[in-house]
Amino acid sequence: MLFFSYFKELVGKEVTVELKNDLAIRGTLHSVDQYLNIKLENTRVVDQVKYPHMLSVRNCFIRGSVVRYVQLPPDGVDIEILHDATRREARGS
Amino acid sequence: MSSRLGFPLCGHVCVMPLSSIPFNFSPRFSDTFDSERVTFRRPAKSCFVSHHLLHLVAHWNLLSRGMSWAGFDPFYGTSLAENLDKKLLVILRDGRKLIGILRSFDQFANVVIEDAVERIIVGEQFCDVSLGLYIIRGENVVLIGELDPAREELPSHMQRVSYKMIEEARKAEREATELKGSMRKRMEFLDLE
Repeated sequence: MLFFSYFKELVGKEVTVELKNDLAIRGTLHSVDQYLNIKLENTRVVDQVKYPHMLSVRNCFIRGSVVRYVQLPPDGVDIEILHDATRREARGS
Repeated sequence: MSSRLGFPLCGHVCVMPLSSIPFNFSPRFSDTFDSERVTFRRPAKSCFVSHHLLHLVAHWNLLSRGMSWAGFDPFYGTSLAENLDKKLLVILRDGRKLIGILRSFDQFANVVIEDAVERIIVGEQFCDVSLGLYIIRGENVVLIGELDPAREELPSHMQRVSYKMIEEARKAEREATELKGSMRKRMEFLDLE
């Protein structure tokens, strides 16, 4: 639940999602769900030449299970809040 | 006239007027996520007033977990419902690219694609193979992309070829990578460094 809440805070921010198949997609985080499935808007593939089939894709749904990394803007992370939330979650369980 | 929402719930049909749900009602989260600037405090159960909603609260967790696929999340959700009846690109774990119209989906991202076409791309060439009606198991789905009809699906320099040609091109590419791999192994054996 913690990361679900965390990603909800990041809705509207520009992120780059790197998938396990090495595809990296940059876009605006539109929404996220409990499985950490991600919906991106205004997407652009990082290496467009290698993935020509993605040329006209502007919005996409990414299954949470295939995400390797979600690269965030450096000012998108408030580490202290994340720390506190993590401690609270650890205490609770 | 207030809009009403009907949905199946544990075998019963519950109807509740949408307008009666308090705006900040969100019983899924009883934890807090504070920040100096904004306090996010999600009241667990205490914020609704209408008694006829009480019996729904206990089921709300079930609902929001199990049914967000239907797009029935009035507050939030990653739903494929917006993409229904649209031409989509589905990328599978094995690298296949299927294009077709989304007809159905569920919470596991199982999807039904109508008039599916597999787009095989090798270098500058591509080929579309017609497949028909497909049910794709969600675990194989990597990405579902909405194809913008205003934009070209592929770069204009790419040429469409026949299935036979694309298969030959694919075979040649596979052999080239295998050769590269075996050459590398041989070089490693020689230990030139």
